[in-house]
Amino acid sequence: MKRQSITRLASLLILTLALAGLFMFQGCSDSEVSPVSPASREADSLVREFGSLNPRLREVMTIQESYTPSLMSSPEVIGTATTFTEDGEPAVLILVTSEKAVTRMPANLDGARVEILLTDPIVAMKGRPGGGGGGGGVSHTAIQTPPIQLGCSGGWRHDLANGYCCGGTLGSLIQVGGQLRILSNYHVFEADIVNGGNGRSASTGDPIIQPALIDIGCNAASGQDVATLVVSRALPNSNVDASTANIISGMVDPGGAILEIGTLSSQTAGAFIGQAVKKSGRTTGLTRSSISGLNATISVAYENECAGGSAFTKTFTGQIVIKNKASKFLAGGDSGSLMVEDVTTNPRAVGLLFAGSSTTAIANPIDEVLNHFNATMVGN
Amino acid sequence: MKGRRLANALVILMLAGGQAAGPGCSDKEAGTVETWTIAEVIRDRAAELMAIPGVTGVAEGRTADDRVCLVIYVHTLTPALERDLPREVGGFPVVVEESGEIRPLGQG
Repeated sequence: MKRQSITRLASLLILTLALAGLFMFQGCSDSEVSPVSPASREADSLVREFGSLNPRLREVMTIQESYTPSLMSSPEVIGTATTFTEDGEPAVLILVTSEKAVTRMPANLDGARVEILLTDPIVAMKGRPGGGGGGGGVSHTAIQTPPIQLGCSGGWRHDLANGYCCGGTLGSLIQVGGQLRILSNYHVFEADIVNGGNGRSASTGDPIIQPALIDIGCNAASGQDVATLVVSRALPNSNVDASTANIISGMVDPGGAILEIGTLSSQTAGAFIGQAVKKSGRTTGLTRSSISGLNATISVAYENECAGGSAFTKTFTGQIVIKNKASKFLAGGDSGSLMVEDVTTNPRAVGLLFAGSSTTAIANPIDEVLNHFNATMVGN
Repeated sequence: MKGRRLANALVILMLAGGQAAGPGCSDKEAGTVETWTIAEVIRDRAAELMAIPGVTGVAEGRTADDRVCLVIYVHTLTPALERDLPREVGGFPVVVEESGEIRPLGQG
């Protein structure tokens, strides 16, 4: 249950919007706090961090706002923002969709430096309402027509507390006895262990929805129930951050297909250093990396509900470490993704991704996860 | 701060003590040399290393020239950590990597 990691660019765009909103609504009552999505929460943090303390930032934002209408009149300009240059100076960021437009942009605006970012057309974002998507243009955050494929946004239907909502990735399909279950993380499905901010804790039988609340404006009615939670309380006592949910008939592809990966092998593979791996997740879609460490001991702190207090710090042993430079392989919201070997056909599962930083991602070895549930992977 | 430095020093002394006792080897049976595996080193020494403030994890890794090594992950590599962390543990070279904060990656 964590917040973070939309890209720096997105953060700055949100910062701009958030500050604009702040200025517009100064003086308004905060007596009623509505649940907010993680983007807003990140913006709050950025506002606290930069906005109120940096007069130059405000000046550049004013310049940006004054030029935005004329800049946006060009069809090749799809957005503006306030950013920071490499040397930490506030600057106006202009997002353009063609190389030609890059050369036509001004070097500065009323004394503010200008940075240009060549990016994809904004239509790509339309298909990714929550910001997540695969390189192949497949949305990992949009509601799917059942039966859904996994590697998509999802979570506990009631994962809303303290003014925020949470979620992660519905990673893969496993079989426990004769029952098909979605595999994700403990901290995605059932980490709400106190009545706290929402008056309830996660219980067996609770709905698991697709997409997660974070991708449907914290409004569960905009999602669909795809499975029912089987509380197992894997943490803090076991060595896996894992949880499962019984699929609702007809709602999940019984073959266990994962977006942009397809059907898996029913066999698993042990990790080795240098092994090429890939995953399909809610935030960063289909991404690839390689194993950099094995048998890792890592401590991870957990909260007791969405945006809640500290629950416990768990020290995991025997974990898999994956290169995650600039969070390009795994970012906030990708928790629950299955890591598989990077082969085209029927890849074997290697690990269950659950934690990381901007340099490092961590996965539970998949065999330990499957043993915990006495389960097997669904695949060929 | 003093308490923390003392704890650091104690941990480092313990690590150094372990190395002095026989890096990579043990003399449990006279006349035989038993080599520790990296897994055994991690099992036996992870708790000591994790107790050093700023250390976020340890793992088996590979050096740039592809030797098996012990990777020590630190939140931020400070001069103090750079100075105090061991260069080898249990006979294996140590590679220190900055990890930042390692946290669950759900989103909310």
